[in-house]
Amino acid sequence: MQKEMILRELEQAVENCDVEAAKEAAKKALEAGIDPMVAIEEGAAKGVRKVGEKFHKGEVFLPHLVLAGDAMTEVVKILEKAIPKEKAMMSKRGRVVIGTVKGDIHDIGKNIVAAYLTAAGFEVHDLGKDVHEDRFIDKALEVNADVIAASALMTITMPAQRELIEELKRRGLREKFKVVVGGGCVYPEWAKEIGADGYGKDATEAVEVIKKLIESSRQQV
Amino acid sequence: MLDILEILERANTGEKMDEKEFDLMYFKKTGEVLKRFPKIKCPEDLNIIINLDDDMADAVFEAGMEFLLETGAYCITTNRVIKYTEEEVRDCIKSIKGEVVFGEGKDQRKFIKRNVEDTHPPGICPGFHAPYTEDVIPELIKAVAMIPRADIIEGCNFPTIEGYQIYGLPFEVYAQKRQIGWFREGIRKAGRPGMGILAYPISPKAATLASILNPEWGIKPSDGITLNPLNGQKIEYEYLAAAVIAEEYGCNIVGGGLPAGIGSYSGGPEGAAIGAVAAQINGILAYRANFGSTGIYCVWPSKERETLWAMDIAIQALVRNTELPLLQYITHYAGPCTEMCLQEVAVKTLILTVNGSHIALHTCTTAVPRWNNVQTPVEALWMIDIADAVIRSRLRREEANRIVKELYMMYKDKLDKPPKGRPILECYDLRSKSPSKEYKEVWNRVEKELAELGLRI
Repeated sequence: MQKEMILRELEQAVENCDVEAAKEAAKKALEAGIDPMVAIEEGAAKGVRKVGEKFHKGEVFLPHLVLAGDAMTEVVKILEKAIPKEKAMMSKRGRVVIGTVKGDIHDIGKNIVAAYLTAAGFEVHDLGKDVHEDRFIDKALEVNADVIAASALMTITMPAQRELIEELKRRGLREKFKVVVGGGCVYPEWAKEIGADGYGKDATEAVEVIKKLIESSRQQV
Repeated sequence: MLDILEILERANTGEKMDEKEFDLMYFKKTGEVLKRFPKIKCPEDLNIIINLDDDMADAVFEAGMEFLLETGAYCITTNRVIKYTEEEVRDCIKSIKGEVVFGEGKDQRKFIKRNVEDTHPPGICPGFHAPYTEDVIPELIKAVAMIPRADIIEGCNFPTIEGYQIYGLPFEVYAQKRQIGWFREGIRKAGRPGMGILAYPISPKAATLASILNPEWGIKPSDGITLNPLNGQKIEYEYLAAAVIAEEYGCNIVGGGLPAGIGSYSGGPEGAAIGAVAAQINGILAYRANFGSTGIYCVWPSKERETLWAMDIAIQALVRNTELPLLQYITHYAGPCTEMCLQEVAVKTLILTVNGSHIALHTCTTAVPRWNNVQTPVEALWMIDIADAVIRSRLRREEANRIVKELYMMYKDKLDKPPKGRPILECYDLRSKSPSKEYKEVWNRVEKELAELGLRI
């Protein structure tokens, strides 16, 4: 009974984008001996998914998703200390590092994709705009990401997507991360030409492509 | 008007703030300002797309002003907030000249500030704010410049130059110079050597834009450049530097920028409308725009009606309360050579013609993301015919709204999956400058639909 109440508390705190309440609920979960993975998946993540559902219905806006994501991040920070490392790696939620590539300061499309990914329950690490390939890779290593998603609006910044993939190869990390590209001027043939694993025409397609990539790579493990 | 040096100083000394903090503050302030203006409400009546309430348009303007004063602009280079005083903003609005002049000699055109339901035809910029391959561009420019109703011409984008991929500043500068060369040659070949050119920046860098400001062969003081702040009142050093250069050079500056967007940090359509007003005034102050250009995007394609309403009321607010001429861009979800594409262009042209804008064609934004060689001159010709028909018919907002609503109903269910249509080389002959038989048939069908709705082109 107490377990259910705490899980519900976690879910509601995240759903209400209340960071402090979410942190409190996470501490309670630890004190009550609830499996941290259960607290994340059946508590906080449920809250994020609910915000995501409301977002898709047009009932809440992108900042609500960002704030719910922040609350979720705080919950995970508290709970992950109690998760054995190997189990933490098995988190059901896909991790995506996303950003607009080097030289490109446009982020409308990228923000929408990040919002849709958060709404779909992914753990999203948004690096913002004008992101150097090293930052993408370093962040992906830091958070053990499944996917790096790189956006480019302008034709003249599309080559930075290729540079990202080349840098992954140079550092011997190409097989470690799936790379998905998109953006106003990006097209499927370009994604293929540069060796990306996936391409998303819009936010809906990007989420589907990333879901499939993560599912297939986890099945292979 | 506030000296540009003061803008630069504030970008260096304003309150330091994380970008995320600014975004969240922007969202919070949107809600706070709207609470003070309860009159601003997107109509629940699905039949209303064009705003018919002048008082509400004026409230959007006042709310937009208050919003700008409370949020300020944000410099992403220095992570600082640039605040304006009410006096500075009012002074900026007072300083706006009611006309913009482009071009020289017989090809010179004056864009006078239009009013809501103005009987003067809108000025036309037939595009192309989109990428093309090098082989297509020279013929395309000529085809566009030969459109008699085209008042100015805007540059396009391209991924390669002389076979090399454009990547990095040196290539960008080289490509930008070649672009202007093509345009000068294209308008000369079209017999309109004095036609005004609006430079489309190959890259948002000061060096790229500065490289083409030249009264002999490049962008003349009688031409213009596009300098848009980023969405959500954000500016940065490169375009600030470009604004310094362009203001001193004396060419026209087209810009305004977008609000944060519906579904994003603007919240709903009401927030986007007041954000668009604020973005436009910020564009005049920070980037010295003398030809306004705002717009609104939405996270959800299904909320297109609300997006159109927000865009329309924001423009009416600016038109009713300032002397700023506005050049508004038309984007469409569906690709060329489809009925939906022409229906969308018709809807937006109707709205912009009655709300007091001048009109420019942008490109297809969704069905075919900005891939090479998509947009054709047909959409521009269609836009011109619709605009002229609206003026000829002396259409007022109520009647325009009725036609817009009927047209919108024809494609609204396809917004999530718009048809791709055909790229330019499959539906338009650049040599004969005529559409394919298929595109002509599409045109005829939509023209007939429009006639049945009461608008004859």
